[in-house]
Amino acid sequence: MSFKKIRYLTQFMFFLLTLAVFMGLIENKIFHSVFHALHIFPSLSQWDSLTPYFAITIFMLIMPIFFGRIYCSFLCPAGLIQDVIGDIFHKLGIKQRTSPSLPWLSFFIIVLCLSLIFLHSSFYGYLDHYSQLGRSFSLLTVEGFSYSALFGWIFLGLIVLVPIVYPRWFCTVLCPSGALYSMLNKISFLKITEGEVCDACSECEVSCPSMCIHDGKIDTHQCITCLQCTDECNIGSFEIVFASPWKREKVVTKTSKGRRRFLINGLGVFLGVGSGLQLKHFFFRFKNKQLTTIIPPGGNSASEFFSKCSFCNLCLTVCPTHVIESSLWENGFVGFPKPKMNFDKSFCSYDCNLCLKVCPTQAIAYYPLKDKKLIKIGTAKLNKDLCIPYIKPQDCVACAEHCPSKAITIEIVNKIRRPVVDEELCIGCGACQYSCPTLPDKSIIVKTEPVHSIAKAPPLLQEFIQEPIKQMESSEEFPF
Amino acid sequence: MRQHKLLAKILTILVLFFFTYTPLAVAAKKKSPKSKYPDLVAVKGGEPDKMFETGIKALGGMKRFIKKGQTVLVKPNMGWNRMPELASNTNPKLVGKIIQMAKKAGAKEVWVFDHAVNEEKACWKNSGIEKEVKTYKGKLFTAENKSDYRKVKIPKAKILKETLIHKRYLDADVIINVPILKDHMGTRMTCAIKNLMGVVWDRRFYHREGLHQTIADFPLSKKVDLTVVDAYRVLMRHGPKGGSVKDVSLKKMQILSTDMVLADAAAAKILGLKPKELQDLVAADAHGYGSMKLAKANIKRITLKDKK
Repeated sequence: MSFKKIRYLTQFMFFLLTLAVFMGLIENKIFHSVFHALHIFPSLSQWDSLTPYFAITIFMLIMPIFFGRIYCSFLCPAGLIQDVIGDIFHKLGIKQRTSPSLPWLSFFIIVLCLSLIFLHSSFYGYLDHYSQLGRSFSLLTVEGFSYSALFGWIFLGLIVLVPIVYPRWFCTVLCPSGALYSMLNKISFLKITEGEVCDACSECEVSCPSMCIHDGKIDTHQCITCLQCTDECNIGSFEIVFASPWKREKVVTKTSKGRRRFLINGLGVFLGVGSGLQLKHFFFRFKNKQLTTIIPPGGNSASEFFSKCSFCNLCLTVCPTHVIESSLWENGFVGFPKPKMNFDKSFCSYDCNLCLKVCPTQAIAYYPLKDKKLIKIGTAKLNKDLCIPYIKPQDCVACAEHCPSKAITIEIVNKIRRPVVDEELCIGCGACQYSCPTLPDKSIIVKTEPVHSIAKAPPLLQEFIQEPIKQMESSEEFPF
Repeated sequence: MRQHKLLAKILTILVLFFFTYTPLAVAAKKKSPKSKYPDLVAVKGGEPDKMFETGIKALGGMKRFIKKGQTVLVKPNMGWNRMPELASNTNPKLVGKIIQMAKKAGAKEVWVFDHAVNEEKACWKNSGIEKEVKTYKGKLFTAENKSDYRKVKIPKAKILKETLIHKRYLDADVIINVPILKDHMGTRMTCAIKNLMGVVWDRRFYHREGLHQTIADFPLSKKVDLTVVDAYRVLMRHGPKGGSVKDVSLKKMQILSTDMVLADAAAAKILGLKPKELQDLVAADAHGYGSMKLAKANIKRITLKDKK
């Protein structure tokens, strides 16, 4: 079996797994944690809250030192899309070119993204392939055409249209994970060595997915360790070597060209750190008070949520009630296009914590269902000037019927049943706002809580937990 | 001569007898489809599936309602994410038994759906109804897509002149309404006619324009063939949502009827209410598609003995 077949097989399996995650087919928390930990971006953003799964992320981070960029070549779902597109159009006879090799840009991107991660800012989400892929999938399937979905369309264009001419260009030019891996790949144990002899058949140049071989020499900056060239070469010029990098022959780089390259790369690093600091400083001035939308339970507080969320929008697709939407400019640049809850459209299901499970950055931090039921994300405010039973003699307790936390009770005044809100019990799930029938404005609206707190437990919930199920049998006769 | 007189007398008596009794017998025979079966069957004291078997037999069997090759809609109440013990949703065993018997009577397909209040998939799972539907090969449909609903005009209605109704409700040949009897904070009681609120799209219209009258208006849109009221476990307080076993009373009763207003009236009494107190029931009675007068109805009461 050639490396190409193995590669396509593992990539395809992983792609299906990714699709299953994106579509919310898997509900297991541990699975999600392990799966997301495989992607260094955006999982590295959990560096301050050390979970056991972070060990996997660390492993993925140092793995290229031993095995090169095998994540890029054997797993990455965005890579598969580019590979397939590149292959198809290569077979159709389109002349393909190598994407520009820009080490300084890679230095810039990787330093920028890492500094943003360690500064608690999530702007790296504009570059990171996993967040982009999730965003494309969810925004295109859930929203289709909207301003925030524009990002999804752009990324899809980048990895579907551009690879027609420049195969695998995203991995070698823009991807922050790819940039980091290519740095580590240069000092990797696993290495492909080129022999001195080459019959210039250009088989390898054509078959290389990133087209990084020129005249029998591999550009290590762009190589994704797919190992395909070792299969293709007729005279066996390429060999897979596993040896410590310092024992290998060193190429002399102390030329003027080498020095200039060092300077340019240094500039890239400098610019990366600088722009990271600037981005954090000037665009991330967000105070909790400014929050206008409602953020999902588990967000803890608006500033914490916005600093962690890499806007992959996976919570949009998994949400069974489709209450989560991608926001526009409601919270400024920081909040774009991060999730918000739209209670006019739907409500947050009381017995569900799926978005808490799937969030790859834990911006929506995980809480067990029992605890999530008490997270207060907003407070229901009743407007008695609009509420039907308060203005005319007609029963309506739609909100009380739907309220899961027993925060809305009814009172009977002049034989009319009307709702009363207990704000201490309210968790802001929006069931009342969703079910409120008044037009055009709803008479009960959930006001956002920028800092989430824990609501009082509803009395019946406590009873239910403690009491075993036991029923009294009545032996009465038919009352009719 | 005497003998002749006697014979003539006997003959006249026989003739008179014949002329007086034949019309009566013919009339009785003509009347029979109506009076052969009771208006309402009330069963008590067994498990939900056993009670249904007995009840439907007394009501003329499943074949009275279902012809071979027809599609049947079973409409339970499964709008709440609650376990069967909490009596917020129709008993799954009862739903399963109805599907099984409908299939046995020759139904081509048995459909089940409810426009849920909570998250639909969770309701299906935790109510236990999804499992029963799968076991007896019924078909469960989602009610969350607006495209599945069709606009229907109800000319006789007082308020609900027009509404969006789920296509499975409109397309089914036979409709079996299987509500659970519960206390309700808005209408005091929810049972058969209230359960049909689960086949419309816009429930906010009901709340906005007057809950009681709109609930009573809706059944004018299509005839419901059979109503089976599940009063096995009855939520006596904090309805319709419930959530505590303290509010549930194990009544072990079931009401079967072709007249859902009558079934509701009987159910109201189980809950300890007078049918006249319920505004929606009074409005439904005024529409004339059913009667809430229990005293005039032919009621058959059956008490099952637990086999232990």
